[in-house]
Amino acid sequence: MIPSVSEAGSRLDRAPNHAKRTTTLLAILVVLSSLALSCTTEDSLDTRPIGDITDIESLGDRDDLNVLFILIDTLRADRLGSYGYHEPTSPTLDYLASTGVRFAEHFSQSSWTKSSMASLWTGPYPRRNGVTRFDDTLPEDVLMPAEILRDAGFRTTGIWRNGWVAPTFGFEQGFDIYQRPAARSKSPDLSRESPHLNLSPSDDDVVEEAVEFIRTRRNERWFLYLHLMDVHQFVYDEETALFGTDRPGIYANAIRREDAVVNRLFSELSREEQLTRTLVVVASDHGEAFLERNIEGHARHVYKETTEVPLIMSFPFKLDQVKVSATTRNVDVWPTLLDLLGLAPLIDPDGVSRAPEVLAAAGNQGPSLNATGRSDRAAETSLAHLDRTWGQPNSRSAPALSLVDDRFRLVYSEDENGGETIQLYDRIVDPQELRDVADANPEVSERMMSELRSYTASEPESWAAEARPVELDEMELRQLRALGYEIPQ
Amino acid sequence: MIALRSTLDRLRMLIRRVAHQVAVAIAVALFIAACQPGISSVEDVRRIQAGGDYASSIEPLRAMLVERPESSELQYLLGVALRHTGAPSLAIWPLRKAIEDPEWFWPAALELVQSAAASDNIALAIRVTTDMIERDDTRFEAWLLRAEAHIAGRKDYEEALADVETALELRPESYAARLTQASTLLMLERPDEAEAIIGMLEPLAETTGLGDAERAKLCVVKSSLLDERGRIGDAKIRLDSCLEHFPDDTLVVETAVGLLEKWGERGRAQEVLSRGIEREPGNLAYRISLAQRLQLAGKESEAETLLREFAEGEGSPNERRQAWVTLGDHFLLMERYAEAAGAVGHALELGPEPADAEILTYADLLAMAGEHDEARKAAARLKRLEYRDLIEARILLQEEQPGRALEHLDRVLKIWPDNAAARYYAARAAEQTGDVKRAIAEYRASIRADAGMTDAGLRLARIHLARRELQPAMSAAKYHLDAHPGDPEAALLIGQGLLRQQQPIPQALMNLLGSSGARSRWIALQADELAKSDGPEAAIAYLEQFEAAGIKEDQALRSLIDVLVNADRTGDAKVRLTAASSRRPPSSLVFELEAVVLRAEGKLEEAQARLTKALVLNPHNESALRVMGKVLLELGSLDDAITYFDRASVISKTPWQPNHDAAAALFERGHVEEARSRLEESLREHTFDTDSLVLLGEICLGWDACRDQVPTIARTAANLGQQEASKALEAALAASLKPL
Repeated sequence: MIPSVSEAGSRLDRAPNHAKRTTTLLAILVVLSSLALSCTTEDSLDTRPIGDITDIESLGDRDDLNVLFILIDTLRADRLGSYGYHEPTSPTLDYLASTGVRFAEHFSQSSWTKSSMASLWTGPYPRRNGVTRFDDTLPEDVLMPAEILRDAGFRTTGIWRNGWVAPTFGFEQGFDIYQRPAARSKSPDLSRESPHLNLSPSDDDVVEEAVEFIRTRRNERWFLYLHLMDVHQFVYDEETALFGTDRPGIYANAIRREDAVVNRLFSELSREEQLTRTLVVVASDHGEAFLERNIEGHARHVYKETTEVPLIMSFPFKLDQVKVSATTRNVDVWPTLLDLLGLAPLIDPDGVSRAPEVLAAAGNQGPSLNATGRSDRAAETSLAHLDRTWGQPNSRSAPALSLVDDRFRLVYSEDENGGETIQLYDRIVDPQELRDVADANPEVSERMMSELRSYTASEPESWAAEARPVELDEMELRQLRALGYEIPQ
Repeated sequence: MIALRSTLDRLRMLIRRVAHQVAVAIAVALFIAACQPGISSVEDVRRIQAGGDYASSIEPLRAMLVERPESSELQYLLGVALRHTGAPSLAIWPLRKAIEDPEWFWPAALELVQSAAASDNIALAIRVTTDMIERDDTRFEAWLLRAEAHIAGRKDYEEALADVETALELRPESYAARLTQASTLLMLERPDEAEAIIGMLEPLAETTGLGDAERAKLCVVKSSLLDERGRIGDAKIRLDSCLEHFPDDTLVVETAVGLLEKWGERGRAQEVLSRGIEREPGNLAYRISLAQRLQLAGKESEAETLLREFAEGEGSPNERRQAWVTLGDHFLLMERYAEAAGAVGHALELGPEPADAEILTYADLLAMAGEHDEARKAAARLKRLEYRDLIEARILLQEEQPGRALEHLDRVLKIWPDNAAARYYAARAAEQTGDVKRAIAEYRASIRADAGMTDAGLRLARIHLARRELQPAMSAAKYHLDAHPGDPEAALLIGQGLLRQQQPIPQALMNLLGSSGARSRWIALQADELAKSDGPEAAIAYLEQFEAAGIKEDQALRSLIDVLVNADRTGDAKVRLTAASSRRPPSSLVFELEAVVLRAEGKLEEAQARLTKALVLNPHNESALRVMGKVLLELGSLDDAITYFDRASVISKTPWQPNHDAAAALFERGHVEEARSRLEESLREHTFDTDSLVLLGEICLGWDACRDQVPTIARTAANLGQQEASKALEAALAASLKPL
C-alpha cells in the first residue's frame, strides 16, 4: 500500500490546519486583554530603571525582591544570538542579556538532566552529590535553594515538565507548590519532532500557570522555577518556522519559539508591575549534539555541544551589557544568587559565588578573574560527568568526564568493556573542539587527567551517601520514556 | 505500511473541532463579558455564576482582584469560574490562595480537589484531601475524595481502600463509595471481595433508584469480572441476561461483542451487532463495528453493502458523511484507491464547506489512484499552500520528477516537519536524485516522527548496510521492528548486522529468526556470511550440521548444494544430494537441487526437465524459477528466461535480485534499452540495490542515451559504499570522453 501524505493528519494536520483558527482565537484574546503586549518591543515594555554596580551590591538589602528562575532544557549556548549565533533565534533572551549579565563561558555539570540539575540545585559535582544513576534520588538531608528561599519568606513554586526533576527524585524540596502543568492550552499549530510527546503539555501551559501564580501572589514575595521543555521537544509553530527543516534548523526554530515564551513571561511581569522587583535568571541543564562527532542528542557524552550552556541574569534594573568572561559553571549559579540576595549559602558546594566577577564586570574593571583576584584552580575549571549507561541494571558503568579550563577541554571516557579514551581539545585554536591534540600536549593531558582523577577519588557528600535508588512506577517510567530516554523495562 | 486514518481518528478530529468551537465560544463570551457594564460587584458575579454563566465572570473577577488581591471570596469565585470553563489547572492557583483563609477553606478545598483531579495533579488532590481530613475527620466526602485520588494516582491502592472503608463507616448506604470500594479491591487483585461488593451493589442500585443505564453497566461489569476470573460459563449466563434485559444499551452491546470475540465466538458477536442494527438501523457505530468485522472475515462485499446502504440512505448528513468516510477507509484497506477517493468525495459533498484537512485526504486519495488531474483540481481548493505542495510533490514523484517533488516537500517540511509520510517521500525523492545523505536524514526524521507509518526503518537499514555502517543499520532496523513487531525483514537485517560484527544473536531475535517467515532466509544468510568471512568450508561445515542431525531443513540443503557447486565441488554436491534425497520424498526442492547439479555439469536439458517437475510440484518455488531462468538463458531462450525471472520477482521478498538477473541477461544480449528501463524502475523502489545500480552505470557507459547519467550513478554508488565501482565508472567515463 502507498503511504498517504495526509495520513499524519489524524495527529498532525492540526499543525497547519488549526493555525488559522488559533490565530483567530488568540486575536480575540489579545483584544480582550487590551494589552497588545506581544506586538510591542521588549524595550517599550521594560519599565526598569537604569542600574549600576551599587544596585547590584544592594540587592541583598531589598525585602521586595522576587526570583524567576527559567530553566530552558536542552539549550546550547552557541545557538543564541547573544552567544554569537548567526541567526536571530533569541531576540528576547538577547535583550535580557544586553540589559543584564551574560556569563560568556558557562558550563553544565552533565549532559543529562537529572545529574545536571542535581548539581545545579545542590552545588556539588555529580560524584559528590551522588546523583548519576537513573534511579538515584536526592535525599531529604540536602539543603536546596528553595528551602533557603522559603525560610527567607519567599512563596516558592516550581512548575516543571521534565520527569527527571520530578518529586520522586527529591527535587521538590523547599517548594510550597511543585507541579507538572496540565495540558490545557494545547496549541494546535505546534510542530513536534517526536510524536511520542503529543500527550504532554507544552510550555504554553507552563506560562499560563505561571501567569496565574504571579497574578494570585502579586503582593507577596515569590520564587518561581519554570522548567521549560519545548526546545528539548523541538516544538515550534508556523511563525517560528524560520531556520530550516533539518534537525539543527528545527532546533533553532524551537529556540525562537521558546524565546517568545520568555517574552510572554517578561510581558506579564511588566503588566503586573513586577519587573522592577524581580530577578530573572535564564539557565540550561545541557545542550544538544547534531552529529558533530557522530553523536546526536544529549545524555550520551560530555563534549562541548552538550555541556556549553547559557546563563543570563536580568536584574530589576537595566545594566549595560555586562559580560562575565571567566569560566563559570552551573554549580556556581545558586552560590552566586544566594550571595547576591544576601541569603544563607548552600552547604559545601563545589560551586562558588560569582558575585565578585559580576560586580567586577559591572564596574568595568577589566577581566573579571584579575579583578577579583581569584586564584583557585578548581574554581577556574568546570567539570562534567555522565554515566553513559545511567546506571541501568545489567550495564557496566561507562563514565564520561570532561574538564574545561580557559584553554583546553579534556574528555575522558570508559566504554562498557572498560576501554579508556582520552581526548584533548584546544578551545582557543579549535573553537568547535573537533581536533584531538592529546598526543601533541601530553603534559596538559596528564595534568588535567590528574585533576579528573582527584575528582573521581573524591568523597561523596555525607547526605549523598544516603542517596537511595527510588523505585519508579510505570507511569513515571512511561513519562521518562516519552522524553526519548531508554529506561530499562 | 500505511492505512488512512481510521474513522476513530476522524471522530477525534470532530471532537477537537467541537472543543475548538467551545474555546471560541468562551473567548467570545469573555469578550462580551468584558464589555458588560453590569458586572461590577461580588453580588453580580454570584448572580451570573448561579445562572450557570461562569465565563462572563472571569474578567470582572480579575479586575476586582487587582483592587482586592487578598479577598478569599474573589479568589474562590475566580477558581470556580476557571474550573467550570475548562481551565481546572488555572483554577488551582486562586483556589490555593482561597484555602489559606479558614473561612473559605471547605468550599475552596472541594473545588480545589476537583480541579486538581481534572488537571491530573493527583499529589495535590491527595494533599488537599488529607488537609480536609485533618481538619474534620467526620467528613464523608473528604475520605471518599482521597480514596478516589489514590486510585487516580494508580498506586497506593491499600490507602485508597482504607479511606473508602472509613467513608463507608460514615455512610454505609453510599452507592458511589461501594463502587469505589469494588474498584479498589479489583486493583488490589482481590476479586472475590470485589465480586461480593458488586453483589451488594445490585440491590443498592434498585433501592437508590438508579436508572437503566447504571444498572446495565453494573450487569456487564459483573459479566466482565466473571470472565476475568476465568468463570467463563457464569460470565456467559450473565452476559445473556444483560443482553436480554438491556438489549438497547450500547455499553452492553459493545461489551458483549468484546467478550464474545475473546471467547472465540465471532459469529455470535456479529449476530449481536446485526440484531443491534435491526433494532436500531440508524446506529452507525454498530454498522461500522460490524463492517470492520466482516471485512476482517473476508466478507468485503457484505461490509461494503452495510455501509453503503447507510451512506445512501435517509440518515442525517453528518452520519452519512461518516459512513462514506468509513467506506473510504474500507476501500483504502483493499487498496482500491479510486473507489476510496469516490467515497470520500461523496462525504465531502454532504457536509458544510470541507476543512482543508478533509480536502487534503481527498486529493491524496486521488493522487494514490493515479488521477492526477483530479487530484490537482482538488488541491486547488486547498487554502493552505503547504497542503497543495504535499499533493503536488506526491504527484511529481509518481511522474518521476523527484527533484521537483523535493522542492515542494521542502516547503511542506518547513512548517510540518513531523509528517512522517512527507519525510518518507522526501527521502524517496532524495534517493532518486542520488542524494543519499539527504535520504538518510529524511528517513531518520520519518522514523522519529512515526516509525510505524512507513517502512522507513527498513529502507534506512538497507542503505546503511550497503554503506557498511552496521551499527546505524541495526539501529534503524530495530526502530522498524519496535514499530512493526515480528517483521522478519527487520529481524534479518539486525541478524545480518550482528553476524558481520561477529556478535552473539540475542534469544528474542533468534526466536524471530527461527519463525516461518525468516527461517530459511536466515539460514541462507548465515551460510552466505560465513562463506564470505571464513571461506566456503566454514559455510559447508555449518550447513552439513542440519542433515547430520537428521533435520530436514530445505534451505540448509539448498545453501549447501549452492556453496559446494560454487566451490567447484559438484561431485560432493551430488553425494550430499543423493543422501539427502534418500531421506525425503520426491519434492520440488529435490528436483530443483538436482537441476542445480546438472546445470553445473553442463547438462542443461536435463536440468530444465528437473526444474519443470520442480515447478509443477510448487509453482512458487522462487529458487527453482530463478535457476530455470538461468538454464533457459544458457539454452539461448532469452524471452522464456525473462518470463521465469519475472515470475520469481513477483513472489520474491527480494524482488530486485531476480530483476537484476533479467536485466543482466538482457544487457548481455544487446537489449540495452529494456535492461536500462528495468533497472531504473527497480531502483526507484530499491535504491539500495547497488548491484543493479552498478549494472545500470555500465549500461549507460556504453550508451549515448544515458551516458550523461553516469556521474550521478557513480556518485550514488559511492554514497552507497561502492567506492571502487564508482571510481571504475568515473574512470571509464573519462576514458570514453577522451578525444582520439
